[in-house]
Amino acid sequence: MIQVLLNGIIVGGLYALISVGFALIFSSVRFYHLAYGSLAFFGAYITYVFRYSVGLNFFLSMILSSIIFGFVGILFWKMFYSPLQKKKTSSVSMIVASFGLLIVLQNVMSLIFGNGGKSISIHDNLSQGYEFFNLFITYNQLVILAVTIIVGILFEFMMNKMKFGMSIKAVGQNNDLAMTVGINYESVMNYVFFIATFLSVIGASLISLEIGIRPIYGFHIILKIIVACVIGGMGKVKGAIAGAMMLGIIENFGIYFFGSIWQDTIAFALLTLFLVFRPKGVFE
Amino acid sequence: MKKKFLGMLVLMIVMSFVLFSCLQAQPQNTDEQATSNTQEILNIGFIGPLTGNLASLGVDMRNAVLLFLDENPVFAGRKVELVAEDDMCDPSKAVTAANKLISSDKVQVILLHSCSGSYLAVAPIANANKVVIFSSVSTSPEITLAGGDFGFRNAPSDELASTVLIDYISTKYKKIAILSENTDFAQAYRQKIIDKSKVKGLEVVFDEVFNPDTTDFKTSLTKMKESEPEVFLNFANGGVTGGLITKQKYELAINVPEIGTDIMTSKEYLDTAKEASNGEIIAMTSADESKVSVQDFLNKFKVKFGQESTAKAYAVLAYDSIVIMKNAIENVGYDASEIKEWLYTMPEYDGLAGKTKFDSNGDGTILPNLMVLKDGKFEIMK
Repeated sequence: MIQVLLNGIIVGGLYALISVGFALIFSSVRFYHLAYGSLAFFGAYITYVFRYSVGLNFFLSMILSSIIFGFVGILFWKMFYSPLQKKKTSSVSMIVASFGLLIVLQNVMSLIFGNGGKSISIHDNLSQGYEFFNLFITYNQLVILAVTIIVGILFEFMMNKMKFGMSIKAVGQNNDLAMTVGINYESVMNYVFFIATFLSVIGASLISLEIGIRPIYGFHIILKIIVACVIGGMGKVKGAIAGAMMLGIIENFGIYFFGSIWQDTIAFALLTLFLVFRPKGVFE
Repeated sequence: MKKKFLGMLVLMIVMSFVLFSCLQAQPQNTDEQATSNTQEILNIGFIGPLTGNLASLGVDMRNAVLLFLDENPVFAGRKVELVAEDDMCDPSKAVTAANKLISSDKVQVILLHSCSGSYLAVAPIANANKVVIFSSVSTSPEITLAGGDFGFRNAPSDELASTVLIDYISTKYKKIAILSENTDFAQAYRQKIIDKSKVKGLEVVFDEVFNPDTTDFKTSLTKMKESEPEVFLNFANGGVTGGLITKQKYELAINVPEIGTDIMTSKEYLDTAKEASNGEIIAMTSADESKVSVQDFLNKFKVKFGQESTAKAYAVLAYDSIVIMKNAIENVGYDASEIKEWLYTMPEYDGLAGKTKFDSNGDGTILPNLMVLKDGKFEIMK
């Protein structure tokens, strides 16, 4: 039973890494950046390229591609969303635009890397897991747990102790007020898109350690992230983390008790329940 | 400026899509010769996946047939022409191809070396038009009855594969665990195993079905481990999915012997599961490379087509299929109704793949072998 909880926490941690960025963007721009999922897995493909075509070590590959994609994230903001926002486009049109981008990215990935899966690993050989007090953890899970915790602490530090982190929070809480006290909106948005995409590529690269990479995964993950963010309360960064953890844990208990065929049903039943009874999330 | 750039970008994306779809829509190359049906030429039809995901399979089977026709170009005094059509394993394309072969090329026999879906789609048309269809690769149990009077195959039904598997399991184990994907193929296989294990007195201690997009099996596998099975059946329907299960099972150090399906011969499976795949057991037809006649065939194949056959088991079956057709045509002439009758009663044919006869449903007698994976290669289990 505790084993299932552990599996759930690790999956939840991965959802959380990606959800944080999604929530951050939502809190400052007020729209669903759907292309975010495909962007994350595009980044994972680039991690793959660094790992196998260039021959770098996995962690270096992951960090390099996350940095590159941080800038790609900024580019997306500047090229697509910012012009739309300046025209005062409704958020529905922005969602449609970002859905289009998701499909385009997915097809570009298929064209470049093929539709089949690519698998990626830290070492060339597979390694069996470790057992502590009757609890079993695989090598990949251990890495994922460690990276998630480190990135989480760094992120918290940045948001609370550094100036640009606090500006991001200010914009998220009250955009107009933030601008009247002299915060530069454009530069804050650059930070937001950089950090969000950076985190998502870290998350997607870690996921690909476990399940490989396929173009369609970008679409799958964005659905899960929306569920996590709704559970946690849309636009609340802390809520997104809590929602992601809850989703991971509930999903895994669902698999354990009802069978894995119910995994997605459980996730979306949760979404429906929250939308109907607690639309503002767990922390109202 | 920015608007112009965006406009250009959109235009480029649209153009590339149009270009891409044009490329795809180009007519496929066929080996068809535009000879009209004169008395001397005898057209035999072929449908198989010559492009797409399973192209290596289809091309190898076509080449095996061509290899035989190269050495035996004349059946019953008439020159044989193979009219090959590509269906990419898509039933709707197979139907189009079959209609063309029947109405325009006037074939009496179609070597339908394609997926079970294509076979099932073409069978009613072939029966209505009285044309013999013969497959060396469609293994679905449904074909046994759905093939109709004119349907034959020398590829063994999955029914036989499940019998071979359960016979093997019952000699060594008592408790089995099954993890299966929610697809026609995997569920049919699972049902047969469950039915037969009841007869053999085996206990199914774990039986879980998952949806095709599932990728994380750790919790399911943990549950499987808790049920303490002696053998684990991995019935995934895709190479990557099957590989993920094998890999995650290995990472969780669940050291229960594993049995799989034909899926495990795919490159995607081996790439995903890596060394965790060692010892995987499957039941499928295989080319017995210890036979001189098989070695001889494979050598000729390599010389003629410049590369080794990648789907040896099916190439061998396809070779047998055209030899059987030659025997039929030489005995009764090129008439589908006569050929059909002859096939049902023909003497046992000892070919490359083994000894073939047909039962009243048109199913052949070749049995699948138990194979075991060693360092990325399947070997026949002794």
